[in-house]
Amino acid sequence: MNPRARADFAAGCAMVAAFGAAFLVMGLVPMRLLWYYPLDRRWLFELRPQGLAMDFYGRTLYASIAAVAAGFVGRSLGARSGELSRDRLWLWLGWGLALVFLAMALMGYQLWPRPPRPLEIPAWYHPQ
Amino acid sequence: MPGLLTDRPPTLAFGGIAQALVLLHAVAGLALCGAATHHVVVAVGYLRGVYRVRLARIYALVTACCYGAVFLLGAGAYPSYRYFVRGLYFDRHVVWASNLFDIKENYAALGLPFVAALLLLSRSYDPPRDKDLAAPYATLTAIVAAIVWLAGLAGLIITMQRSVPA
Repeated sequence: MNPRARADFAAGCAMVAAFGAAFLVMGLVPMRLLWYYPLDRRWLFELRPQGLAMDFYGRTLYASIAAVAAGFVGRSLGARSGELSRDRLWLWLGWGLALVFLAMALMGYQLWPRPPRPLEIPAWYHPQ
Repeated sequence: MPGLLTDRPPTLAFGGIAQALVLLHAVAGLALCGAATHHVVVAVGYLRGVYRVRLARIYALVTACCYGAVFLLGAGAYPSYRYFVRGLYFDRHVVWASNLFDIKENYAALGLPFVAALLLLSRSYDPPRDKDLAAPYATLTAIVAAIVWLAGLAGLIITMQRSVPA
């Protein structure tokens, strides 16, 4: 196999696996995250938010950093490895897919039955 | 909390252009659905011995650019959605739409490394030479297309319930 394609494939699998693992860990283990407070327009690094806050940006940023770092490591390993069998290619991809599908399953499990937390209706609000 | 006790709606980041952002988000999403789907067709061709390598590279690039654009535009409109749509309406009246949105956004985020991996791999992958990579490559393209269609359809359904204010 073309050595550059092998290295790029390894990097891609590592990125997918790291991104999925990061989402999985952040969904399972309570940890300090970067929260955005849209009403105050500020960012806070904390375990649990106080008030209306969004963790999506922070979680995506963390997972992206993990994926980029893993991509460099994966590329280096892929470049050094010898010829890869078809089974080995699927094994690498399988790890990434398994972690991403687990993260997706966890997101669905946690988010679909989530109880709503509506905000207090402000004085200016006129229902349409 | 600002915005709750005042007599005026709060000023949110990109709040003044949130509707325009959502519109552009949808337009870029349309292009993304097209590029991702065509990429699958070209990748399935690799399995059958039809190698349109240049086309696959173009689709990988267009998919990556559109995915990035859709992601950034959606991220820009997100604060307005979170407060005006989800906080004041969905969480009170349309709870399933609120939860569907959060699932969709997380699934879309999980598509990011697949898109990056395909962009990287499409530059170096030589299908006639690396035949063993054809099926993994096609799998990656199919996953990206599935995520894109899922997110696109979920986004349309959610926006049909209520969208960000002007």
